[in-house]
Amino acid sequence: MFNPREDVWVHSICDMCFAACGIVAHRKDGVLVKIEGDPDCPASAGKLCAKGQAGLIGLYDPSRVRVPLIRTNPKKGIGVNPCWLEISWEKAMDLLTEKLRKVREDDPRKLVISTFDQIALSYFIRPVWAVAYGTPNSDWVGYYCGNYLHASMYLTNGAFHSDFDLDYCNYAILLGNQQGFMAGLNATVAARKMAEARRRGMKVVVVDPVGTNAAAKADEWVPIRPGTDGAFILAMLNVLLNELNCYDRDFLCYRTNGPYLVGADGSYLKAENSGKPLVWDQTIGAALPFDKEGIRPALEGSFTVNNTACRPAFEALREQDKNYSPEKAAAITTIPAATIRRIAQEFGQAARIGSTIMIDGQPLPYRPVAVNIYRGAGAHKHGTHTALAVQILNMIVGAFYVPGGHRGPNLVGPAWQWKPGQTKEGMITPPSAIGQGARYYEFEEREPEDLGLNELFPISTNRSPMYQINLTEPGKFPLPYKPEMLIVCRRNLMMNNVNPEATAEALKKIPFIVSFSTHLDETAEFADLVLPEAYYLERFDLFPNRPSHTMSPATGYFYWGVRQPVVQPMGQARRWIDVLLEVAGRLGFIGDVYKLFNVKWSLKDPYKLDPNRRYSMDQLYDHWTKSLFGPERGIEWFKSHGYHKLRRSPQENYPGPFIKARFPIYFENMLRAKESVSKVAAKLGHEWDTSDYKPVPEWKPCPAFSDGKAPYDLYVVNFKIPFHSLSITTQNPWLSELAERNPYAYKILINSETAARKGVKDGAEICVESVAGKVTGQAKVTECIHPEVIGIAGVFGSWAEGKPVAKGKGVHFNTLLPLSMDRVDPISSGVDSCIRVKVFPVAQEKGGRYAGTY
Amino acid sequence: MNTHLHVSYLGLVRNVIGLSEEDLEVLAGATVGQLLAQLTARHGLPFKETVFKQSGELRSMTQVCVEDRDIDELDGLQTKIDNSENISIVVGVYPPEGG
Repeated sequence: MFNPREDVWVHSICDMCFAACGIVAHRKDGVLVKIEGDPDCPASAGKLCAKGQAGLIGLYDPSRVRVPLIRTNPKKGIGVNPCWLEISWEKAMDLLTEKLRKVREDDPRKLVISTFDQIALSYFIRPVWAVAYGTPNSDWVGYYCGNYLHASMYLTNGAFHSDFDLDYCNYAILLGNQQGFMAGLNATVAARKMAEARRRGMKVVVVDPVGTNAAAKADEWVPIRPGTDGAFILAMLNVLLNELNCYDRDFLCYRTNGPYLVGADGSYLKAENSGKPLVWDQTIGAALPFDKEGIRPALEGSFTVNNTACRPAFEALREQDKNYSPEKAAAITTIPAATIRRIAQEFGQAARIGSTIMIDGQPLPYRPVAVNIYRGAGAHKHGTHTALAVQILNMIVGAFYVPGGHRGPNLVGPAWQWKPGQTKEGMITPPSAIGQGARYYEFEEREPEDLGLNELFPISTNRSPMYQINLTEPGKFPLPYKPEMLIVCRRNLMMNNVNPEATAEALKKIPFIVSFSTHLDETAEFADLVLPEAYYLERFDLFPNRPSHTMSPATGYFYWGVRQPVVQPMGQARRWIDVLLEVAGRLGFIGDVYKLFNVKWSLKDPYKLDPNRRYSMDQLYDHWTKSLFGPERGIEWFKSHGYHKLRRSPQENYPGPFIKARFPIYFENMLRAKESVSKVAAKLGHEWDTSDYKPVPEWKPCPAFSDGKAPYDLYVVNFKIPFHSLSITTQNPWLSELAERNPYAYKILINSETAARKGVKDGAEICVESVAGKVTGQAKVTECIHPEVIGIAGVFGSWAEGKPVAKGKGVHFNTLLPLSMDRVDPISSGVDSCIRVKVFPVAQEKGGRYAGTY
Repeated sequence: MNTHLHVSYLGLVRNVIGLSEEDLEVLAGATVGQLLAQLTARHGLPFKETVFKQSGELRSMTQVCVEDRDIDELDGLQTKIDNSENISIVVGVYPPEGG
């Protein structure tokens, strides 16, 4: 495949996190010797983080799985030796094909697929292979990361992410996230832009229980009690709306549903003929359809229309927010009322409501403020409400898809190739190119057919925790089948789900597990068949920079590239997608796969695939690239040139003023979702909490807030450090060394005062125990954490023998979390990721096994 | 005069009708809506319940394509079908991606 006497640099794309930065890899005599950022890639611009550079050493990890392995020990459990036996690929393929054939003939829904391989998920597995096979269960992904957030974003900004415009923003509040500090969307670009923005004077306020990397560099760190972010935001809204009267009237009137009239039951009042929501026109003093030309809608007041008392949705929002005085929020959040008022005032002033800016000759509204949310603030029960409240805060000052403000990535495509849709009420819906399936205005009252229980969580991105609940407690929800087989790749269910012992029980109930693995990790330990998976530097993936997930407008471009193999696969490693396509051929449904590629990749003549032919991956990609960009941009062009780029226009960067659809500050659809979910739950014979389905966000305490009885007197939270990504980087020796030298990464953070009270000294071994499990580790006594909180970083604390670098290093946070319906966000299904714990010096522990140190 | 069609059934609809493709004839000038009515009569309740909501609209997870183009990009259920065209009826579960 590669000339052993060569010295070349190869364009490819990093996969050490989700940012998908372009790289150039130096291969000498068949050996990779250096990885650098690709200067031609808008996502990296020639820069590469520690993770990206350390990818090299991971490639040559001697503990990688090199050959197919079959389990000979039928007993499964944590630490139980599977007694692997090497087998040939031919035998492995026969076994895999036969198992899949039997399941498909019996009931294809019995196959479950779990992966966080983003390329596979987006292009191959979820929209194509799983559909052609016939299973709806291809979506067992994450529990906490963005469950709460992505649905709220799709609903409010029509896109997947929360992001903001670092080119023009002057005042940013980071709520439980570190965007711009080597975290989040297009991390290296964002870090560079953040540095430039701070140099020109942008103020950064970090609201977080932990003094994170971002907090350390911010102008202000505001420690907050975990799970109370919603109360802080609602109090800010109250100050702006009711104390300062600071809001963007024009934006609210014409770009949101703020003026829509709502009745006592919360529903819109609608025109009899057209069914369109009504607004109160101040010029003629009557209710008119919202989209009538030339009207002056009222935002405040109360009215009577056809004998029905009503008020604008904005008035309902403003009225409800009166419940959140800064004084009340201070008692909830521990943030002083004066600080909440000051930050609200600074935010409102910095928004420069009414101002405009000229960009490339285009006058645009200028709102240089943003509050940005991610996992930390959202990953709590009722986290959906917090995320929606954040979006309302951005919207009331008009900082939405305009210079300086909040935006989601790629609401419109190049030359408006795609753009958002709108409901009949005028509300924004995601373009199918970036959010197919996020249909949060249509609900179905039928019994769920998938393990995720789609119809019970209709406003969600995935319902992964429900997979585990359904596996652990079959019959809890009446599904017409029982899972028989699991295929898992690049998803360490044992480390990244809640409590490993609980996850182990779920896995033990699946009769046959296939793990495509680079290492014999904690999940592979439960597999019946392990297949050696290709490392990212051995893979051939087209378009890793997906518009939905990894192509920030901050890069200034729309761009398409290829991840191509830099070296030959180690041992007998293969890419799992290729293996599954081969299985589709063996089972006779590859033609259906091609039919679905034609639809999902929008292939045009003459590049449509013939279901009766067979194609290599090169040929498939060649059809795809040529169909998109013409005959001169085939796959060979991408291999040698790296990137096809299109510079973004101001309208593509800031589409807010150029689209028709409105953004919701009032979620009337929640009322209909509530009704639908209630009916579905009744059909299933379940009592179901639908109280979170409300049109105006509230703050409600998460379980940890209401717990806290001695001795479980502290909260524990999880935080991200910039040089590790999920559990996948923990086995990398260079990154492990960085973590060892970092004062926080492998430690347990405890506040100085708290430590003194508990008799914990810096560096001492301590035990952290929740109702679900306990972990031990070295205490890091610090001022950089809220006094009520214990902090544990990353997904460390591996225990698998097959990960010798990672094994026994750091602390496994997820051990402390239980999985139960009362700790799940009722709307998104995300699992609450804070819990109460007790902490004590390890010397006090009498016997017993520490979870997380298997 | 009749129009000849090739219809593919993909995803959950294949599971319930036990058929992955078939050749059919419809009246010349027929629409996708009329074809789906014909298929409902042909394949009965399992087809109807998998493809349609109770209200009679297509389910959000149903995708109907004429020559690989989603009818949402064409004229919806009013899309006219020409002779020898390929129709795909896909019922998948496509939750938007998330983590």
